[in-house]
Amino acid sequence: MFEYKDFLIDVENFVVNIGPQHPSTHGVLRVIVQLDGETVVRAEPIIGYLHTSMEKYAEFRTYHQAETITDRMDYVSGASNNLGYILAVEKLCGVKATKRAEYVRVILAELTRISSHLVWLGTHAVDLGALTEFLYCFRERELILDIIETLTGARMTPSFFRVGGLAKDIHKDFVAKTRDFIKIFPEKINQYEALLTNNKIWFERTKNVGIISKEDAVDFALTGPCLRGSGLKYDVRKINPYSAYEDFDFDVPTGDTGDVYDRYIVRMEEMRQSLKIVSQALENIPEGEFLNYDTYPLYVIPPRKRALTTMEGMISLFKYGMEGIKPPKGEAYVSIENPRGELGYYMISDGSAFPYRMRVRPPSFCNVSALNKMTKGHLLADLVSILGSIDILLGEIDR
Amino acid sequence: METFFALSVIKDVMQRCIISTDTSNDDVRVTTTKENLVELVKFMKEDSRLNFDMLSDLFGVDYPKRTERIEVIYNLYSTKNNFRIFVKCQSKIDEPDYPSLTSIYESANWFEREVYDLFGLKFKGHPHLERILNPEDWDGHPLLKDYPLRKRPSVEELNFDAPGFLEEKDFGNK
Repeated sequence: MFEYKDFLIDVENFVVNIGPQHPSTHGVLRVIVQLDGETVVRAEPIIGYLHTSMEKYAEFRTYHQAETITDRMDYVSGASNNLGYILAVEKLCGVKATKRAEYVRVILAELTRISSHLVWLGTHAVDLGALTEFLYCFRERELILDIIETLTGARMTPSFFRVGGLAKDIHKDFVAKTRDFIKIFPEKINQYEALLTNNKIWFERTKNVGIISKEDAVDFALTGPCLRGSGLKYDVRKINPYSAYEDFDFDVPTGDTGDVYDRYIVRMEEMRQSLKIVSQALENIPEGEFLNYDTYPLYVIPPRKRALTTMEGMISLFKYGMEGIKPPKGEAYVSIENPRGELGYYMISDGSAFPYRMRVRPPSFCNVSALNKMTKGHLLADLVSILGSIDILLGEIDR
Repeated sequence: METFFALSVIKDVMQRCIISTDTSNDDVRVTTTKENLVELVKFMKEDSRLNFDMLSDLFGVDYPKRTERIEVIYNLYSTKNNFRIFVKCQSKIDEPDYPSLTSIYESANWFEREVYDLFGLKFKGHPHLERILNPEDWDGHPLLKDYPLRKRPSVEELNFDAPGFLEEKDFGNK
């Protein structure tokens, strides 16, 4: 028969497996946690459950086909990922998009940032027990997805950018819908904040939890809100402006202690700043072509109208479809500010129509690698809070 | 550009570690050898004029026609000065002495595991060199150029007589 002591377990060295199927891991992340009582001694994230080798796939696609892979990596901020990829290919070819295209790209990227932060806020609040927040966030996210769908035809995976510009020009419906959104959204952010920011329960769950210092954050190569929450004002949009970001006036919010609450405040403020950028860009969209075909006919797809009315345009479109573009031999690196951090694309071309190597520098990959550092010494329940505050996305970590 | 200042400093002090430099497409790339890699990176991190405090990225590229076919590219960034330099280093796949940077940068840990997983390069001195994206029992290293895009073992290749092939596996949950 069993003795009483058989039921005693070693509480000082107790190992708990969380995931890969667990709602608070936001996907298929698995965390092996070693506990002492209820305190986390070590938390080892195990990734790779969503690995589809997208970097390998890109080597077998033409440059424009590979674009569709990029928005499937970080599927809640698709336009942002497309932007980084297209900028890298443009740098490889030496192409520069028209000003009008750059502005529209900024609008889409910033709308995507807001929608991504809304997903983060909703799920993070659900993790900590605030169920109402989720419904409000997804209500407004739906509006953004509608705007993106009006313009690009897809809700989450737009693949709307082309080398040298956009696939289509913008239209009245898109502008009107975006204007409506700009009008209503500031009030909504205040609503979200009214529920959480000064809430005592929220304070208890997030203040002084998951602290990471500035030096450690840099050492772990954290970027985005995780790094800014620790107090370093590092935003690629400000430091190395790309795609007309130098034209807009916006602030980079930072925290000071680097805990979960700071990362929350940083993201909430970022939504306001993104909205500011969208409204500036929307009111100042310059007139002109949306594709820079005249300057770079070798690399840029001809606009539909040109292709159907002129002989050169038709030939060019045909060659574009059959052969794809062939950037000159070389290497180029572009990094942009994704909602999750610095997203880098390192493209290597061997002169053929296929990328020789497409390397993605995934922001969440670095961010989640610091999980052990952040959770050490906290309670197991705080692990969920910290995991939510990092804002991981497994599609991008595993690629 | 600011980064060219960093390049000139590196060229002045560490000339013997550098094989070649490349500044096409507005990026700065420095090629070094695996013997000098740690020394060069340490200098770049610790020198007060440079201060490359972040290893932003680390990845491999496969050039099957070269004798040293794996090229590892380190993306080093200085948050204080906004410098970005790519350090390149070439190696054979089965190189036993390829140095690990885990003692210098914490972020190198996962990146080096990824390079090992996808290219098979073993980093000497890495504390926990295991596959990170693929399963532990995965065969081959997918990002090598001679690894096919779609690989399924044919019936002839499957060894049904291998011990434990069709047996129910014990995952410890019984």
